[in-house]
Amino acid sequence: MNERVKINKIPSGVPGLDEVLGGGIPELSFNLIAGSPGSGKTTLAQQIMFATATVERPALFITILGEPPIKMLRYQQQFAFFDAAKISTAVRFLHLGDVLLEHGLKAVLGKIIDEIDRTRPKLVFVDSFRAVVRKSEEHGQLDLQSFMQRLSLHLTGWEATTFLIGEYEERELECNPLFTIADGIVWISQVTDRNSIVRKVQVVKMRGQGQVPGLHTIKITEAGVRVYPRLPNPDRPIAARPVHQHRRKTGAEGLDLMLGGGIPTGYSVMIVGPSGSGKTILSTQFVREGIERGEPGVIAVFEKRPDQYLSTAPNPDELGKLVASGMLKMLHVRPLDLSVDETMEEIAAAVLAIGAKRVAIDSLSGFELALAPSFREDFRESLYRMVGGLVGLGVTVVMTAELVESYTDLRLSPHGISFLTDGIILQRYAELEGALRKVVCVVKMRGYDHDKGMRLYEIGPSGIVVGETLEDYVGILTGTPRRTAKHANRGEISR
Amino acid sequence: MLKHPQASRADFLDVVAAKLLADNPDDEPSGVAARAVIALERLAHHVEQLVGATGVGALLARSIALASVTFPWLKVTAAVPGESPLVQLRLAIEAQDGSVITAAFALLLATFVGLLGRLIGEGLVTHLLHDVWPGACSQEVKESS
Repeated sequence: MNERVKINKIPSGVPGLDEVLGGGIPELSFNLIAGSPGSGKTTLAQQIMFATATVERPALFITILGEPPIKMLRYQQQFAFFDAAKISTAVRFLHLGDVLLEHGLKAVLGKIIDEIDRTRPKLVFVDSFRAVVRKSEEHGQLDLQSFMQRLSLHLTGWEATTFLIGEYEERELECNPLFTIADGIVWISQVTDRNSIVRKVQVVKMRGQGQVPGLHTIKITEAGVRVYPRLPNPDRPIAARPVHQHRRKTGAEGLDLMLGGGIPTGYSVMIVGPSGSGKTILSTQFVREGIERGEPGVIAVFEKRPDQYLSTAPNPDELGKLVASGMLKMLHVRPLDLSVDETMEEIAAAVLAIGAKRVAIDSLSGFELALAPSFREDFRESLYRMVGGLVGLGVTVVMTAELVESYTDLRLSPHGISFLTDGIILQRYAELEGALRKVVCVVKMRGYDHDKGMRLYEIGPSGIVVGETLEDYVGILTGTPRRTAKHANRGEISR
Repeated sequence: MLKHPQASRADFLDVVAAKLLADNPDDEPSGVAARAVIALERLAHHVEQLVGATGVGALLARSIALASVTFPWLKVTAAVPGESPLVQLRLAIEAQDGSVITAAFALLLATFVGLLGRLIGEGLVTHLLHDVWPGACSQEVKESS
């Protein structure tokens, strides 16, 4: 018989936070929500409170100095989670700033205990607890350890789940007794890099639970706080990689032949080429081909707005109809302070919404620009996490990447990211018979044999049309191919 | 859910004021004054839970200053620093006639509640008033329905 105590987990009501916490807030736990000023501690705490408090599980929000409560109420009710109907039925506020100033810590403790005895809250929030810590340092005051011990014991006795909110510095983690006593520590930080600010949350500890380690991006909008769990989440079950025998046709018959039947399902493929080579067209063609086969698709556009994109793509009317039919979702991701996790969540939500099987990301250069500088610095890691996350959903991903044409070295991708994808399709310009022609080749298709030849292609009204292999030429990648001696007299290649 | 349309808030507060102070029309001014102060103390106590004693003190002082444009005798009540304006208010209104007290109380109440509403929102104030005077709120609901 299993006699171990079962720790119930309370859903926090903050999107993404439960996953990071390891399932939710452990009932009866004693937690710290810590971080720098303006990082969103009070907002997070109130969002948790309004989401979790009920008449049966009432909450008490105690304010002690810090942000004046009248201002806190004024600003917090701008968030969608603020529910005035819960106030005084499920949520009670108690301000003890005056008590602390006039009568000290002992009186504050007495007031908290009285209020808890009287109202029996199941959720208790103390904001800002930093004021208590500062007061405890004054001569003649109750010391922090005693205050904490008595408060913690009382709250546990009343079976309350507690959150102490306060401003702390990271160095205090090692020496402040508060951090030792706490069952859970949620740390919020703000990173300023050039013109962008990125907020991050870290679950430093959460006793009895397997929290997801690392820094997770958070965003605060009118809806409140949203956490974007870092990817890949080591504890999240990963979708079994699809069996690759099945191929996703690209819509360009000749290219499918080169690929050995199409792109293997669940693969990530990068289409690399210079400006104007038709990368966007091929990626759109891939998604459109899928839709024709009953596989919904998502196109995430990072450079153009969806209407601009639709107006320049082949058969824009047809694409517009696919969007209207719900088989195609266009995402426009443009802000300059995005995190990779946000982008990933947005694409993943679109994939799940329409059951997409194919995703096109156009382009990686635009994606890099859309990221906040701190994420751009580690673009490879960002991309690795995003590709891993998307492929984990079971979709087949194509990404476009612009490559400045260089005829003296063979670069397969900007930023050295070619190893992150399963396959690479390279587009190049070459001068043939006095004309600028387009050439495509499959550089790699991990685990599968593929055509190693280089083929001419044209861009037609319905997309890319791949032609014959340039068997008679050498030096194509130099941009100025030469006919091989044995075929020198065979005549012109067909266009 | 209770509804307190902004336009009917003043009427509602008039009803509350009349109801709170009109229990005994033959009261001495001191009796009416006591009931007015008790009503304000009751409201202040509830608001204090939300915004603290300092916050209530500041709101009351501002309300008295605004209401004293109509009732200049209210001005003296804000003169003692560090003390709740309600202490001085009681002394000041005891010196007035019953009808003046009722009018001044209604104005003070409306000013205080209006100020609070502008700061923390009408929705929150509605719930607060319902907690403070459930009976009076029921009457308002009845009247506005």
